[in-house]
Amino acid sequence: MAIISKEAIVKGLLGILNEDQVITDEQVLKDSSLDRYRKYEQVFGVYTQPAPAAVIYVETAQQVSDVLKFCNANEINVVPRTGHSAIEGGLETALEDSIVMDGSRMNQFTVNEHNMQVTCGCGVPLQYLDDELRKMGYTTGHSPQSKPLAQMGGLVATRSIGQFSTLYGGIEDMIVGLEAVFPNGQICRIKNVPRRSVGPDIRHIICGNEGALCFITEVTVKIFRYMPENNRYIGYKLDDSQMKLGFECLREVMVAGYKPSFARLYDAADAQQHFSGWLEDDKAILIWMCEGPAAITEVMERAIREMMNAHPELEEVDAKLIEKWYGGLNWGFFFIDKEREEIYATKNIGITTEVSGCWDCIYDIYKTAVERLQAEVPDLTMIGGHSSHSYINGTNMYFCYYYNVVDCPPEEEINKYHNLVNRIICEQTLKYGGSISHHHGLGKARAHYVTEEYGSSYYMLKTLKQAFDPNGIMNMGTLIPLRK
Amino acid sequence: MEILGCFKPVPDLELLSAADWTADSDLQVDTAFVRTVWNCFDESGLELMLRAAEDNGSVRLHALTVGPKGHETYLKTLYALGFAQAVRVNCEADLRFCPEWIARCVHTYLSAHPEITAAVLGAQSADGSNSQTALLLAERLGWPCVTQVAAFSVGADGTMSVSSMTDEGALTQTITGPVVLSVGNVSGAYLRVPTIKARRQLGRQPVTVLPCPDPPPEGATLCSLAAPETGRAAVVIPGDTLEERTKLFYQQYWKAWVKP
Repeated sequence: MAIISKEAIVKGLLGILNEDQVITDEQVLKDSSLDRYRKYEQVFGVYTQPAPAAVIYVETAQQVSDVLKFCNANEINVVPRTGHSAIEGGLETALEDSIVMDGSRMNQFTVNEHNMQVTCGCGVPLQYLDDELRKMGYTTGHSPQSKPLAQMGGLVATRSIGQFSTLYGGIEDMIVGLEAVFPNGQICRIKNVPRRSVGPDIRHIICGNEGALCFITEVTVKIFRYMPENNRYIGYKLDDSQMKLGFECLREVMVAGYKPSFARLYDAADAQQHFSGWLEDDKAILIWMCEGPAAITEVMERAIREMMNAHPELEEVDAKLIEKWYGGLNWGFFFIDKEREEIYATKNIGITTEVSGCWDCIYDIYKTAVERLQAEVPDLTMIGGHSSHSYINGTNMYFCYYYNVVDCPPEEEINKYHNLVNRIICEQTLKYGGSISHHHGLGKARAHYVTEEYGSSYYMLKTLKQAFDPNGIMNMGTLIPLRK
Repeated sequence: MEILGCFKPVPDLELLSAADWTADSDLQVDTAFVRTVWNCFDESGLELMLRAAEDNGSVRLHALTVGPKGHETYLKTLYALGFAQAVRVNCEADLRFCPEWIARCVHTYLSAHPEITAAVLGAQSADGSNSQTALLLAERLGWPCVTQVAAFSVGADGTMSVSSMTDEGALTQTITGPVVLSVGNVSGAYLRVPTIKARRQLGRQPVTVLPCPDPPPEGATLCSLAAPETGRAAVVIPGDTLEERTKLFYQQYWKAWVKP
């Protein structure tokens, strides 16, 4: 915890930054003390986390360095932030008198078409970046649901993944080079090369660090040609009781060597959230989208159809329905505002928890987690899920669940319901050998499972933390839980 | 007291992109691919019914929809929320512009169930928006109709206290005898959500399916379809930097608006 007072912290920051870069407005501080992990509390205007001493908007890597040096000397907890779209508590200011360091003003980018790369400040909004690239005929290929809000620094920090990952990969596959600032003020730049073999890939110290090791100031990612005119869509429905077959079908396509840009399996409950206009309520659904050069998408579409038509349990659906649905996938401020209104009125809230597993265990993770959730979680109104990111060796499972908050003040919702659900899902995932977080990050929500998740390799994570952040100032409580 | 709530599911038009608002050769905008949701006015009506039943345990709730089998998912949700009876009048046709026919279907049901003395409908729907069904139903029944209803309750004596919005402000009336309530824009009246357990225990009751009395008429004929002009007058403030634009905005616009 900080060894100087809040007033001294603010004074120190004003000595480094301009006045307009240091925010101490009470409501801003409250809103900056949490993220969407405590969505329910926030809807009811309850803030249980300590308010930060200030929210600062940094504009250069040197400012980041100077601030971190100041914080390091005074043991001030720093929470790095860009788009504020995190959902696992990673942005919570768990310690008194933390500061939130916001990089959203570092929002310039440069496109290098010849090298097929774009270099972005950490505050470049992904939606804006991709819209501008598309005008040029390119795309980042990165399209998480948070795209309308998320910014590049946070996307790298959380090791995010997008809806088209089956073709383009996760952010870790897209990163070329990085710049980050460490707690001692050291500004480190990793240059842009296609690949190198000069020791361990140190980009992976930064990518996924969730602000617990450094502050990311710049990211260079690959860009790809944008060819939406060649997109092909495929959909098959199947009985909900055939989810295991559904996973087998996803695997079949991946093992055959095809890489559709998205490959999804929705169980019936989750499918109804999207397709209730035309899909029966007892049907699961498989969906693929093929993207890329016309010759490839045509062949891929034909091959996937051929594979799926060999399964009599599957029934093809009109591809137009899938194409249209795809057009409305992402969300933004309008939907967030509407969601808040509904939560407030109904006290019914929807959350997601995502995990991953190899092909031989993912169905067991899904099935047993759903069974336990239905049996153990009170007031559950919906539990379902979908697989949305497949690999040669496995896939993820994205659990979606809603519950009524009954006889429970807002600040207790997290323990009575949300953490209980997380615990059950994590327990089942670990039991069968999966990973407790596929792409949302550990944050603070699941940090207490870190030793179980890592096993013997926890030594490596802990050593990184001790090496880069010996004074414990970087987003404490994230990745590694705070000791009580 | 027994109350009938009428509703219909509608496509979630918020999921349509700007490009989707394109009429085909039949002057129809394709909404087949989007999920369906409760028509928001009907939803408010159903939630108000549940609140009334919560306050007065003697209130018994019925629900009715006119439409295809897909609507039964919604009826099962209402069973799970405690509705006593859920009815679907089977009809596959496009009923957006057939308020008279729908009113006739509801009237037929109410005539067969004289124990029901109040009918609750949403003022309009997201897709049809004709705002006529409740009024036409009241006319057929010979019942009074209160419009723009915002809240209601049922007293121990069986009278209804109904709050509605008028041009002069909020009005609260005590109503004895049968009535049609047309529910308007009620802030925060989202339909509560049943638990999975409730769905299993109550939501699996069979839905009563009534045959389509006779084919609905074609309703109003669409002659043309055009998107309304939604542009707004705007001025783009020039300037290379935020400071320049702010200065220009202040000098040319804001200064004149702000009274000293």
